[in-house]
Amino acid sequence: MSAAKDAELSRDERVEAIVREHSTAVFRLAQSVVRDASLADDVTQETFIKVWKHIDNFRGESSLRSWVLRIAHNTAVSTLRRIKDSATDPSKMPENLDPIPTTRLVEGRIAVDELRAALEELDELTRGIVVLREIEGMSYEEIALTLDVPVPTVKTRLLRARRRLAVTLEDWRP
Amino acid sequence: MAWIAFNHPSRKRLLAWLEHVDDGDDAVGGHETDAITQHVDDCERCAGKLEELAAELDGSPSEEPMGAALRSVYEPPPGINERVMKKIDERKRSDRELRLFLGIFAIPTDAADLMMPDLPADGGLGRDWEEEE
Repeated sequence: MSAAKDAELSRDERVEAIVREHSTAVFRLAQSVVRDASLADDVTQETFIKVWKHIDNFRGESSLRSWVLRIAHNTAVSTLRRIKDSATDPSKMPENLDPIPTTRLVEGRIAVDELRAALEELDELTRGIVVLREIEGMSYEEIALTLDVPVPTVKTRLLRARRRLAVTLEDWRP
Repeated sequence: MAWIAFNHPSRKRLLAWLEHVDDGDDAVGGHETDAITQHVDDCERCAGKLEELAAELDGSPSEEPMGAALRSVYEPPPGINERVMKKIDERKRSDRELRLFLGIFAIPTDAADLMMPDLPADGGLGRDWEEEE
């Protein structure tokens, strides 16, 4: 096998490992921005095509996770902007593409649709911050770097979002 | 300076903003919410005040139940990795075909990349967010 073929195989394996490790986080961040599972799936695929294409240019100035999620966030924001620009029919806007499903219970106590409605009240940036902190467990600094916002913005948005979401979660506690 | 102090929201307004008060005398309306959000994004003093306020409030949620609940809202559909890898394979094939086509006309592949960029020059680390309205 040629050296070029070997290098390509190794690159493919590397990308596949990155997909396995980060696809869930990419999907979650994308969905927090575009608010639609099908669109978030598209954004996830597009994100990893960019990762595959540019992985050799990754300079390691941030963590790989930050780099991948930043591409995902930019891709999601661009997708949303494209949809907003082209949508003439309000029913084609993202918030209406993914209707709230019938009530499902989380741990028998929390209704997902209630929580989803509370998240809808937050802006896109705040939802992204919530996902990266509360689900992915990223530090304030890493979130700030990933979303290209100052650290105090991350902190204050998170404080407010937690207050709002806590009310929803509290309602469902026994 | 007095005008700077005037621009900072009062403790009461910050509290109403933090608690999403949307009715009664202390309600924070849409424009005020946006203004305070914008202000605290840039003001370390008010951001610090908010942290103090949040610490003083009772019933701060523990993080773990919130994370578990959020995971169920943002749950990826099954087979996402397979779909991604399939998409990458499709892209590889179309790239190979494009390069073959360009080769026929002796067009450098770098030129094709310039014609069809899919990442900004800074490697995707652009400032897309700030361009949003």
